[in-house]
Amino acid sequence: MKEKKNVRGKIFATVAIGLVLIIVILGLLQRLVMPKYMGEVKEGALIGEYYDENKDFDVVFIGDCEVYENFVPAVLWENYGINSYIRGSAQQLIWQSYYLAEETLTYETPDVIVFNVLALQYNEPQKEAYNRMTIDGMRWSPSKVGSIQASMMEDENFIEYVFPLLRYHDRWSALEKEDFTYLFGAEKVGHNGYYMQVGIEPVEYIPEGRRLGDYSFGDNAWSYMDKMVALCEEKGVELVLIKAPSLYPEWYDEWDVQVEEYAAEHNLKYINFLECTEEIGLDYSTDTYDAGLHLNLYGAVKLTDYFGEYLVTECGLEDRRREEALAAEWEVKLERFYEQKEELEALEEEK
Amino acid sequence: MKKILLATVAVLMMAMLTACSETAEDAADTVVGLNDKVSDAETILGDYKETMSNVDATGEGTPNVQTNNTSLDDFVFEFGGVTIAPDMNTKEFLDKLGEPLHYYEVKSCAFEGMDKIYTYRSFEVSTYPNGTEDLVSYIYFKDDTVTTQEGAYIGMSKADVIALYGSDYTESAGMHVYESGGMELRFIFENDSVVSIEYATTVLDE
Repeated sequence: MKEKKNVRGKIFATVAIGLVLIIVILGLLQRLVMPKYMGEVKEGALIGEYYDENKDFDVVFIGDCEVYENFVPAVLWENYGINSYIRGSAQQLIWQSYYLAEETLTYETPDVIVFNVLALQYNEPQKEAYNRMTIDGMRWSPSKVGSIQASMMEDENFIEYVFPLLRYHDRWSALEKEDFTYLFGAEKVGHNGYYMQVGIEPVEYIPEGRRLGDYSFGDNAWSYMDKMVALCEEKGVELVLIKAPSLYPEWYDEWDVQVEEYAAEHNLKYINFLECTEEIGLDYSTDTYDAGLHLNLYGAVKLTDYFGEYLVTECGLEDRRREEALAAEWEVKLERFYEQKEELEALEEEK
Repeated sequence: MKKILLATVAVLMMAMLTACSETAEDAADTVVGLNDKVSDAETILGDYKETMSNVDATGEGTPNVQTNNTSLDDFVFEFGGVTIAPDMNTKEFLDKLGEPLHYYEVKSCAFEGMDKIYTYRSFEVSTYPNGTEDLVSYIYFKDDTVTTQEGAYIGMSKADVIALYGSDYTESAGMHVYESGGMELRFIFENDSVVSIEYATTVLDE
């Protein structure tokens, strides 16, 4: 009898160990084959970096590359004592922004959420490629589930987001050194979500925007705008709408009017920075690294400084530079910020 | 027992890593649509481009994403004896067109390749990257000095356009769209008169 029990116990233990072993191995394999975004395309790593933060921000930016390449939290801190973070990702769609805002508000309640309105032009999911860069980096939460469901292209499967190994498993035959180097953790890419670029490529010509058949933003896009407004109202967060001063792609007047009207109807602040480039002091012969799509660090510093003053005067944000713990945290961040600035500038000079 | 367990683990691992089942292929095809859109693959994986190409090709190497899927039976644009069509390789016509008035290239948010726009006096040609080559994404008329091969031009009446191309069009985002092969010929009308004509690939919409 005892022997039988022993045998059963052994079988149970062996099966349990085996199962654990399988889970661990599959988990490791999943980490191994998933993209690390540590090569030329680093933007995919930005979303996940937020979770390492202390999450006590005054301002949280959400949106596409027009936020993470055009605004510099380090400047808001240095010049105004505003603690800010950018939850930006490449071609972030408005429903993804909404769910990122929703998720952010489960961690903290900033005074202001800033949303870049370019995303209103998309009414439907666009590319799985971009979905992945926003969603894969999110931690599991109802917001992530919502974001996946709202973002999936027709042929995508939810299960592949749950188990990315199913999506990426065939990469095993082409793994690279960095897949092993960053198996247990990636290098930090952003500076509170800002992606630094120091190159200079002047604007010489901007193609005229092509005529559109219909300039109305879609119902789906508007519905998420409504949800974002309701979410912010419910949580007591001020929502500020912006259009970054990127010259391309075209921001049509017809689009701008719709946002202006919406902002007026919902008592929101809306700043189209394209209309105040002179006041900001932007010089598109030196302040952009890609001929007008995005600002480089020098342009982003000017824009952020301008916006910082707005946040203080119009949104009543207070200077927190006297908070010791926060100041100490920023000291470390600024050191890394200026180190990378120097490194990138040195690389630019070598070119 | 231990041997059985080890064997199970090994089989599972092999299955996960090497299985190129129909599902896996579908997934790979679906995810980035690499057969059609290399730029997407570049976007999602950046420097994993080659890897992802392998994913899609299930081990058969990097696929040449999109060759010219437009035949001369489809709608094409002719200018000065030079034929241009969506998805056509720019090598086939750029030299013949001569210097453009303007050239603009953009590296989108996370794309490795460049989108390029060549602006000529009366039309504009935009391209998307396909590996080391550039294929036409759209041709856009800028004024009424150019016409489609069938004779449509900016300013033409809607009735005349329909007389030329027929009623087999779809209305999408305020445009009248005639589809042929892998491309579309799109018209925008204002007050029953053409204000915009463009040829566009459908590859980027998929």
